[in-house]
Amino acid sequence: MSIRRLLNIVPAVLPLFLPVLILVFRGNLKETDRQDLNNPVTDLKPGTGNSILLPFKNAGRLLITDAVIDGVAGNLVFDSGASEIVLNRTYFRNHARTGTAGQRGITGNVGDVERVHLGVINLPGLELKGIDASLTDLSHIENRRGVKITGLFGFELLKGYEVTIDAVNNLMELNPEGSVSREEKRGKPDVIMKAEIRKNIIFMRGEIAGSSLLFCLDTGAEISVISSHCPKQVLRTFTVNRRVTLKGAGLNTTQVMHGKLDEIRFGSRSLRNFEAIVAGLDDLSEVYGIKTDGMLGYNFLRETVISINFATGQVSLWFNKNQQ
Amino acid sequence: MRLCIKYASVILVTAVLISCGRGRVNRIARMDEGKIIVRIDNRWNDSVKKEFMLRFGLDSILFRAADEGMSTIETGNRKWELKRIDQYITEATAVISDELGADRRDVLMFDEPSDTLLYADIRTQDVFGVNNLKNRETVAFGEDTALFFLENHLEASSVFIAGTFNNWNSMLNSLTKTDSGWMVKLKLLPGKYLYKYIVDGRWIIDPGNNLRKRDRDIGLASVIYVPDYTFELNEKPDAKEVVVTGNFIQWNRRGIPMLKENGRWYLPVYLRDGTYAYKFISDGTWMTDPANPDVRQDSNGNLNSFIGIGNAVTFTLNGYTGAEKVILTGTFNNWDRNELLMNKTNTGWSLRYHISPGMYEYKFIADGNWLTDPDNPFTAGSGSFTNSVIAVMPNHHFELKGHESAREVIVTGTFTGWDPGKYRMVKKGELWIFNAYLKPGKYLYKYIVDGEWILDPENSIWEENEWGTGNSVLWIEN
Repeated sequence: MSIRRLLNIVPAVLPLFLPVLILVFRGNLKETDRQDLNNPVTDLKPGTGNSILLPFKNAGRLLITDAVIDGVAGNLVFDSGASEIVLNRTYFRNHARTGTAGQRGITGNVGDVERVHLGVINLPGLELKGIDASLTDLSHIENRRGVKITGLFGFELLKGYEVTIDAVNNLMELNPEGSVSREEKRGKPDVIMKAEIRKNIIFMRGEIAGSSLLFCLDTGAEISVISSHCPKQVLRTFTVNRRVTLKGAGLNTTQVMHGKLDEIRFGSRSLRNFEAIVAGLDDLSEVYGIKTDGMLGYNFLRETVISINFATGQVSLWFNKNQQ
Repeated sequence: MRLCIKYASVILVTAVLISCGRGRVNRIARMDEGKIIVRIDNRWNDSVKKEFMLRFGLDSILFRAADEGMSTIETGNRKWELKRIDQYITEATAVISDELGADRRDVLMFDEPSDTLLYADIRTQDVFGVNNLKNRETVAFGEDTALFFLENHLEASSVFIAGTFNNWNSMLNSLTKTDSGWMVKLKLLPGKYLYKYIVDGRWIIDPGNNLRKRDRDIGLASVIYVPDYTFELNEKPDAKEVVVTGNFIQWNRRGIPMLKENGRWYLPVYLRDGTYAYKFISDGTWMTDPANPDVRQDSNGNLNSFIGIGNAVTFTLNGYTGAEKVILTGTFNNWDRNELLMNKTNTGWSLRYHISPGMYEYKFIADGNWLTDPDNPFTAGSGSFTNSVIAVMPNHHFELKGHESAREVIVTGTFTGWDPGKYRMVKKGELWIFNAYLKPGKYLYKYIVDGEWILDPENSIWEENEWGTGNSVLWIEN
């Protein structure tokens, strides 16, 4: 039973666990202070209007960032397809459970999601308190990537900011709402479009072969996905290169076709020879409660800088120079 | 010739696939309403067919069915419908079950496991290394320390350093601001390290370091070698150039240029733990190190200087004084039966040998008889395949309390490929113990107590496995 799915299909639970964001900025601490992981940064200054730059690393094509969660040091995967923070059960078995929620999934199975309440999450330049999280087994990510993964987080933790993701330079810029980005060098966006935001997940429209399609932005997807149920004219622009096997949690595997789309358009700009896999997304659409034609994953992030304003629901895109 | 045929086949396959991919009608494979449709051409030779099968995970039965004009064929749990298009082409269509499903929605991992250096033990991967810094202040070395200095960036509010020495942790090691830049002193053992600075959240390479390496996960990173040895030559003050060469650079005649200061030649280097032969070349003239008495003759009669780096292990075999010769052999020298001749002592045999940190199995060969080390209780394997085991520079101690009446306790895990014969623990008081050297990274492990596999009761960190019994988890940090 997928944790994300469980979390999504019980939206009534979510408002109860909205995070309390303590927006703080880093001050001039002594080196010894910074090195003490059990004594997180506290003299940060909220509301100064400055942006925070959150440095990322890669584990394969996943974006990860350092995090110390209640003293447990490791890495969090930034997964914009996650509605809320999900922790790797391996490292939080001893956290007191705040409850379990019986969940009925679309396959009819009933599962339990364990929930915990966290004291402090420290990210580089950010301290978050009073967060509720769910537990699941994420060992398959660790074991395939060789990196200690303590959990996943999505936009839920970042809703108070305008979020700009620059995957090429391995950083995320967080601007408190109402502030002005200091990334002036980036200039005017190539494309500005309205996004649909559901359960902290960003949906945006693109166009393939004249068909308007709805994509979710999923930084936890190492490759973009096009639904196999897209219209014929869309799939005709897809050149199959090979068959690949995807491995998920546990022993689940799915065989899908890998290849390239001739062109995918966003507003007035397009990406050519866009790498993707074709896979069925019906279950996912049901979970999201919206018909999803595709997922924009890591390869999309490498081609663009994307900024999401949660207050206005606006998405801005800057395309890398080699794109049209 | 075979190579040419192979390359020609690859070119042919690529040409066929490209040409087929050009026109939409002629695409070699396409998707349509949940089906995969592939076009099989009976003009393809075996190489093209093989490439085609590899790419699409198909069976040769499909080609045979197309040749024989069959209308359906089942292979690999998939039913294919075949339709002859013309005298050459047959289209094969199959339904694909490609639903990602809600159950898949954690992250979507696409490629194979990363061979990333991010958390690998790259510190000991290179045998030899020399720094290339723009000036001495960029990184200054002390006793097991390195002082990193980043010039300028005085407008920044924070600077951190992250690298292979701290698992690329961007929050752990901050720099202190000075009047001309930022600095931090880190405790670093000799070795090779990749690193980057993080200036106000932005990753940058070290502008003062010319040595760089592109890492798959972290991008371009600076490279530093923390030296553990300095070659020195206090002669030839008038020489124009002195270089050092040796088996660590395959006796390259160009060698590594030494630095000159006050008429003295020197070169700080990193050398991985082990034993090395070397020579100086002064303006083209080869010479042994006049300050090093350890000079040995090689099989060609050449004299070379020798150095040992790291901790030496002294292997000792007591007794067997009547033997004519005793050889030490093990995994450290690929079980070579001649290389390591032991020295005879009053009480037995002995050999001092430099080995890099690690787990090794070994045996002695006394006049042709293979025997385990009678003074080492740690063993692996069974029967005549039992070997003595040594951990050089152990960095983890496995301990299991209780089980006093057990006959045998094994610790096994991903570090032994889950070999149920490795490693045998030794009873010490109330504990079963085993000392290990493990490279940095994640390990899964279990104990086997008289055949029963159990989790480590002292370790609360464990993860699920496919049998529902769990595995204990161990992270070894740099």
